[in-house]
Amino acid sequence: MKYIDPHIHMVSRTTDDYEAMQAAGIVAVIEPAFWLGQPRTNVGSFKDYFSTLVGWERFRASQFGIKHYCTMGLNSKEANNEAMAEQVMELLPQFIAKEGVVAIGEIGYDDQTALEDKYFRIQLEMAKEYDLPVLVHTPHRDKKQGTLRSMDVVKEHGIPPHLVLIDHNNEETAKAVLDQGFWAGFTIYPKTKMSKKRMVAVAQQYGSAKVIVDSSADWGVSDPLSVPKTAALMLENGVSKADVEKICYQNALSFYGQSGQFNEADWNQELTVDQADLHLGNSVLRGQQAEKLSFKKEN
Amino acid sequence: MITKVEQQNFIEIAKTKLSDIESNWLQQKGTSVSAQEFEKKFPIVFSLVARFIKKEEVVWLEQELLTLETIYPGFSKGVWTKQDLARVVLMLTLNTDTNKARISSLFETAEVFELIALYKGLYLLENASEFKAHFEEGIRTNMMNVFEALSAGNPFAKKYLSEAGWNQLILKTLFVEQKLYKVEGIDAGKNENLANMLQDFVKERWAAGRSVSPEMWRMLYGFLREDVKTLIGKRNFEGKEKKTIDCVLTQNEQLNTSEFWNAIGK
Repeated sequence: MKYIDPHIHMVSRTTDDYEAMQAAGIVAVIEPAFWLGQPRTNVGSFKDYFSTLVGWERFRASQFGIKHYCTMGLNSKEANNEAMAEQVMELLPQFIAKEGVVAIGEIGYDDQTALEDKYFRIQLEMAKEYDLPVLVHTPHRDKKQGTLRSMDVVKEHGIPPHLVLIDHNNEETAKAVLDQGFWAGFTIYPKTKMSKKRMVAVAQQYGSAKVIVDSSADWGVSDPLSVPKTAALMLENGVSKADVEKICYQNALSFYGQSGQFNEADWNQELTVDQADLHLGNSVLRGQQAEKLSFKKEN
Repeated sequence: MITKVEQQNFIEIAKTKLSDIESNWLQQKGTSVSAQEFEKKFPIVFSLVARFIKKEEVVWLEQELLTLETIYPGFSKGVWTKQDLARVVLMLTLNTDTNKARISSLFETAEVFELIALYKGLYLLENASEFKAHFEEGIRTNMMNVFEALSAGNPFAKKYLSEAGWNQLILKTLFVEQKLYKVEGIDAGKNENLANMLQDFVKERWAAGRSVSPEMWRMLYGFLREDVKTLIGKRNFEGKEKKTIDCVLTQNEQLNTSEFWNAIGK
């Protein structure tokens, strides 16, 4: 089975992870712009981080046969530094317009402060202007209220639910999110957020219609193989193959495909090229071979 | 230096390679807005090319390539996509008084394919020489498709880089195992310093039990050092490498033809 991990922070992961992910069947990843575990202190750090997401990290992923996409946004924690946030708002449109930027995100609330609210709303308007879907991060603390509030604000800005993925759900929030027509993301963490076992129960209860699993793996305790591992556990526990495929591949494709920049052909084509590499004088292929070699030599 | 007429010719040919819809989009975002508005929107429009113009590789007519080679030596050795062409047209639409600032700033935020187009387009700017430092920075890239945009069929290096800059490009081209014969002006770029660096490089590779591309000898025949000659005598070579080294040792006349070396590279 092929998998997409639609939420993973690859800049924090190793090449071993990339190899394991590729071997496990992950064909594409989406890396939402996020914080670094400690707050940035100036806008230049954002600029370099954003350009890493569309530059080096994208190239690095390609070395391991994985297509890398990203979402751009100011995360809720750092929205609380107003002077810096203003500058990030100036900077963002340049990056939102770039190739392979498939949504605005992850944006939303952390402590649900007035500043978080301000920049959440500004970025929702940017999503409308650039005609992109939105990835909403829901808070760890006061999660239920934060999730409900996020959805109200999205609706207030006139963005239809089918263009919005509410992420990091749990049993308490899933129903409200799905009932209102939003896409529901479930982050499978080894210790916190959702566990694989709880996810099986969620899949059994809510089916596969708008449910998406991701790893949100980053610099903390997390597992870049959460998506394929959860898929395996769901299959073992009687969730149908068709449902597992939707939850772990197709739904992410359908949701982010709304950006017009996330197409199955992107990775299917490259696989064909890979298999035919000895006799096709294709330029994409020449690039790829050279990339792989030189990456190893340069490091 | 590129002339306005050459620039115009390039733009005209480039536009015929786009579909009507693509060409209209480019027109609408580029030439038909005020210079001031274009300057402001330049980085965003440059990015949006990805959504409005196809990434497919352009297929050229023989006559087009002949013309393009006179404007941009080496053109046919590189791969050009429709997006590359559109982005270069946008670069050429910037006013020469301000393009340094605009393009420098874009370099700081550019994604992979934007970088490729930027590096390809520099040679076509009237003030190309002002972008030498950007090109040299590009040689340091770790992204090999970006590096290829600098090394394969790009006339900028031979025309504008110092010997030291040029030598870095050639050394890295071999180091990362890209094709030397695609570097524009390669034979005119031979020099003793480069030949010495390459001989140190080959000694290092051989000591590590590794090999080098036989293309390397293109840059150092005529400068062969005794220490390397001695090492050659102690090694066994096969195939293309043997053929090349035999020619180098016997100072075969074929060495002076680019056809010989291009065949080695291919």
